[in-house]
Amino acid sequence: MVKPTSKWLTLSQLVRVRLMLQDGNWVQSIPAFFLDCRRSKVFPALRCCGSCHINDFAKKLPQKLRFLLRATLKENSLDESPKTEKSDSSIKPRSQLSRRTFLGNIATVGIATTAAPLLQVGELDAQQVHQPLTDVTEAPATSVGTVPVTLKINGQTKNLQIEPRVTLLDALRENLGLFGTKKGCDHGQCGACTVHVNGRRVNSCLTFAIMHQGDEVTTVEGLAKNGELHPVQAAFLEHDAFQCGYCTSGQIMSAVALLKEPCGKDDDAIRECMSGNICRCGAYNNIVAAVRSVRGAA
Amino acid sequence: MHEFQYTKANDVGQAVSSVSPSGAKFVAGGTTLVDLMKLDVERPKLLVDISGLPLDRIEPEGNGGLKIGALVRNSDLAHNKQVERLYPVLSQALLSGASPQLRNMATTGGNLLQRTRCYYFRDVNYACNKRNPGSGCSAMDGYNRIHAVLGTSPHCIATHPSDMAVAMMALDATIFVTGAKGDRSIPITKFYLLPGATPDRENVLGAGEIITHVTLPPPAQNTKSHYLKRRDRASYEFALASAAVIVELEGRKIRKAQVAMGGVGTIPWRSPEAEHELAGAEASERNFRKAAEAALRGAKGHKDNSFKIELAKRTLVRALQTVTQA
Repeated sequence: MVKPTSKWLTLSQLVRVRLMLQDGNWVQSIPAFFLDCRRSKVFPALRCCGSCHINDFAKKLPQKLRFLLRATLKENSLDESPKTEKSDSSIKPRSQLSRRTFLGNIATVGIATTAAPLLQVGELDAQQVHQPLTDVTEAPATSVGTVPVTLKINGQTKNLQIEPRVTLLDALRENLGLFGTKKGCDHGQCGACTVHVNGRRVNSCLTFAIMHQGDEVTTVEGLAKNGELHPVQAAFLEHDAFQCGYCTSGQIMSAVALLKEPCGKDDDAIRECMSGNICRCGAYNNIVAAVRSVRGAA
Repeated sequence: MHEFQYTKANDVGQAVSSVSPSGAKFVAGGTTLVDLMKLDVERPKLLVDISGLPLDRIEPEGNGGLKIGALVRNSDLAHNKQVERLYPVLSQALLSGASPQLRNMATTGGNLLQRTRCYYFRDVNYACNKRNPGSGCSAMDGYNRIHAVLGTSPHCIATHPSDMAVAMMALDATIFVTGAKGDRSIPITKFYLLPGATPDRENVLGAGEIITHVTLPPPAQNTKSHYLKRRDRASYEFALASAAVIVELEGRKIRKAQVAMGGVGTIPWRSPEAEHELAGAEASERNFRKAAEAALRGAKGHKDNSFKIELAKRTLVRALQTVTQA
């Protein structure tokens, strides 16, 4: 029996999995981390119920690796109770720390130097990844057409080597490992990508990172201070203002900015001022309640 | 998205000279351009970033009007105290458009120059005379619910989507531009071009010309203005029909009216026909209806958008009712 040696699948294990399957369709060899949930269409999978792909993927693995995967996921409380030998009834679909850190580690080794999709992970040299996210001070200068871009994100200076066509959203997610900001529509129509630039809320998908050198960019990761949640974050928790959570960071960033904008007093005004953020789960009533409570307390 | 070179302009002169090689475009807010670049509709080889130029002031003019820099953000313009007080139609039009995030990014100049939302223009897999002159118009026989009923031609029926431009059209704004050949000013009524046989040419700007600012004339006394926008959703959607009205009232008599319509024209649609009906007329629903009929005379509907003709008339009537309320 192969025992897992680390808390999460290492890159070498991922690569080995891909090679061993040899089924001609390498997309299926990528763990659910990198897939869209087929049911709710959110990315990455495991965001909503946490169970969709794991069993599909696991069934395709050879026995040895199947155990490895299940043990790894179980350790991170990411598997659902399987019908296999290791039945386990504890289901915690969202082990934020392990997945986020795992993906963050990919950024640390400088894998995404341009807007390349994470699917390319499998093709790189295998490396053990354990370190938490650190500043990306220098990415390998392998890509033609990249230029140095310096951004100030949540008070920290970040030096990137990226193409001009990398949007601010993609720079945050793919190059800086800040996954709190989400890509929903990528066309400025859903608001999931909302961040603050110099204190003003904007759609980060519709602007290029290179255009924001010298600007102060705030993402959802930068709201809490000294471990204390921003009042809007706390209000969203208190009022149950999210279900799947995918729109939530954009909603929170919008609501925080709204506090400093001229917006009418009643709920209709809140709805209008929040109209740039859509929620497919329909958590609107609670979102309005959360925003109302923060404004009332102000 | 295509690769491109990027340069940031430090002054207007540098901006103008940087953009003279063909294949170069200005970028300010980016809300139209980046959107279209992602769709491969726009493929500039060089982007000249003008967002840092000193064109972001709103200043009173000597004659009592207002001077609005081309880089003033839509949200700043909408919430400006002078604009709210003296040109409420402009503030209302801006706030009815897009979303708060987009209004924080979009600029005055960019809003005037925004491109149509026609589905076929935005999809390079379809024939489009605006994108590719001579290739045909997919909207004519396609799904054309959002398309224009005024100012169309056999080559193009795409609607101009801006709300701000409609308000500025009603307000008789003047657009100031500069280019390699120097400065010039263009009344907004002469700025936009009907599609005709050249739908790829949307306005009179020459290659390399940049809008520096827009001026609004001083508001006349006793005027009230209003913008009414009609669309399927309550917010965050383009107009099916909209009306910007500015009315100078004397008791219940309209001395003078200025009317422009949105969502129905291939360009922001100023309506001297409606204005003529309203001048000197009593502020009554009957007269409003006459003006609306005049405004939409000659409107040409297509398979999915003929409803807009009646909708536009009623929108104009309702806007006039609101603005002349006692």
